[in-house]
Amino acid sequence: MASSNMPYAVRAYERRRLADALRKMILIRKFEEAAEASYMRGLIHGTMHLSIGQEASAVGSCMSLEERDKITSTHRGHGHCLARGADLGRMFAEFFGKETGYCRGRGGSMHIADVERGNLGANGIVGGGLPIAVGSALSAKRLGTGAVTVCFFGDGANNEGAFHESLNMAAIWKLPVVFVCENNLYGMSMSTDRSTAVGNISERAAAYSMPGATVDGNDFSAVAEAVDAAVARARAGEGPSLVENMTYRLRGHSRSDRNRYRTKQEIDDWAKRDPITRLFGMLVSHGVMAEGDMAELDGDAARKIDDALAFAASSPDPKVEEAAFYVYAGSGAR
Amino acid sequence: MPVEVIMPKVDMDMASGKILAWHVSAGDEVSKGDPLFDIETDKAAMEVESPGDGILRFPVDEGAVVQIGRPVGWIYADGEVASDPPGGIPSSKDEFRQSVPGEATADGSRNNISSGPDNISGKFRASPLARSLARADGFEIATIVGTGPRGRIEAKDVRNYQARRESEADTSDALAVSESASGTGTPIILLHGFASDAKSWTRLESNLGQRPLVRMELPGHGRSQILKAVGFPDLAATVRQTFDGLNLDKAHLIGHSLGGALLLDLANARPDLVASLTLIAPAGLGPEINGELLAGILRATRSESLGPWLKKLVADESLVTESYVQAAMRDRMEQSTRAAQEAMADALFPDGVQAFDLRAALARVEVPTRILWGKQDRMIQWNHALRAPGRVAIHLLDGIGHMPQIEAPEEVARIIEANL
Repeated sequence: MASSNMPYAVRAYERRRLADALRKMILIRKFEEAAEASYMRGLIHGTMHLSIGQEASAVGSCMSLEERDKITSTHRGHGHCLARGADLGRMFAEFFGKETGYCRGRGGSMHIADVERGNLGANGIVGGGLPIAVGSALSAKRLGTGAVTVCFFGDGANNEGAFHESLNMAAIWKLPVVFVCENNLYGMSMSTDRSTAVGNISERAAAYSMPGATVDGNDFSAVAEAVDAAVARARAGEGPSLVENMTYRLRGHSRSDRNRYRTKQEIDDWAKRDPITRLFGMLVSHGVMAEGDMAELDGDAARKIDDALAFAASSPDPKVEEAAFYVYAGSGAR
Repeated sequence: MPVEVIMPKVDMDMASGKILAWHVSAGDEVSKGDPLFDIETDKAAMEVESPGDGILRFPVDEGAVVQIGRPVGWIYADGEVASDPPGGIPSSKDEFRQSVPGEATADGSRNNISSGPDNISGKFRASPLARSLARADGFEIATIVGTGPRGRIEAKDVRNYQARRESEADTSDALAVSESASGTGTPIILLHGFASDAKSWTRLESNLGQRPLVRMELPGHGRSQILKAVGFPDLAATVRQTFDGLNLDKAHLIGHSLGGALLLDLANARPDLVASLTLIAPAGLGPEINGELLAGILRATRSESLGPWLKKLVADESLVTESYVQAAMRDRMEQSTRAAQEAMADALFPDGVQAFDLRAALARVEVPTRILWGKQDRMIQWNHALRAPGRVAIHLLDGIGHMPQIEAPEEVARIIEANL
């Protein structure tokens, strides 16, 4: 049968959902490029971690999530937020420190939470989202909501104690959680070769008696196939899984990264494996999209970004005397 | 519309950055992603890539400090007319200079560009920390080899260089050596006396013609490090070691006072490598030395107490000016320097007596040797010269004290030159 040779994504999703996934990936890319430009102009305070090059991992991992499902994100979490449908304007407003931002401008890039859409929050602590995801999955199980939690974390977190404790706890209680490791090869400037005892981080799954899989994280279809299966397993009450998306951040660790630990050649090689170009090529070759559609998708995304930037720029700054409000629970305006 | 090239914010707390160097010149073609310029912030230096394809126009001067987000140049597409830079930025670099940081320009915008406080030396790559370490240590950073990306000199390179320099000094105990920039012929080695340094040769050097000069400095003097072992045999061994390290085929030796004694010992130990020996008021030819004068110099902690003793070193006391005394005191300000010299004096001249005798060595030395002595020397009596064997030439200078090379440099140079 000819269809068995078709990529998983083309078999599994309607054309509308595929187009939507591509649109989200382009939006994430443009969003981060605009954020980068704003940062360079000094409009954004603090620092910022860009996931440019990792868009397939963010969007592909959320394909089978429902409204009731949850995610936890990382310091490199803009893609996760947007994959779950976060509002572009409120995200930019958060970066700019505006009152209309997700955390009323008090949190910045690393602290965007959107609980209404099931995003339990980005986290500035490496591995900080793992125990939260286990807690979320435990509550879903105890309350019988049927919700699945997808926990994003990076390769740097896989050597944290919290990673091992979380996977163990999730396994012994058979919790509905999917651990998605976005392995972009470097924890700051430390390569996984130097930091991690196992060749593939997914091998760690065996220690906690759960399935582990390593996939090409720049291949949207491969990511979606692996995470969909893990979500189905979690939903069926069979417990957690570990999926490792092999990917690459084309930008530095943070905005102050000088890229001294990797070569330009390596960056260029990964740029040739751009997940957006690859998904678009796949959709064109399977007749889901036409070559000429890219310009329109780009234009759409650019317009959305412009509107969002305008919204954020025109939003009010917090009042100085209220700067400490909303920082702790219950410290909001009375 | 040309593409604006801005000073990017690359650190959380960065307000402005310095243009270290442009990788391309105005009028050159660049492609998006090409290295365009290097910037330096308070924390680091980094490369900035071109934001577009085209021709670079109106780059700000290297060394300029630019506020983040402000333009530092423009990239024009092929065929795009470049008359004035867009955005109301003044076109000539002179105008950049004149504009005061934060001062409003004609169109009301703020043009926060100012020249950097210091010029960058060359286009070699070095991290800001490496530069500041080298500056603090007082050496030219361009002299060391960088091991960072594309030969960038990093802090660890500077530290390695410093450690290497120190360990070389530690293991070999070599003395500080400075060499004249040019010169031809057999080199001259100069070794100063106790409580002095290589600067004491300056007046003689300007009368010495064109030979290459190599100045050594005693331990705990000038730029030489302090050594623990300071007996005469230790010093002599250190001088030999330093001399051997120079790998010279032949050298003329000129030593003053203690330096004379040490070079006499060297000439005795390395007869084949010495072309001639000149001893100026040398130590080692008799037991007497002015212990009171030595102690007075060693004790002095300020120019007021040092000056009267320094005057005793020369015959014409007007040579010892206020500024000379102050300069001499500056060299002795370090407590560690004075303590080191005191320990040395205690080993070499206990109770005001020269504890070493080089008359036997002088008897053995066969190279042409001469002794110069001031007849008014109040540190070591000139009649010690009379103990030299007959083949040693003796020049006695009337109206001169312990410092002939300072008191009568022309005369001293004439005597030396005639015999080289």
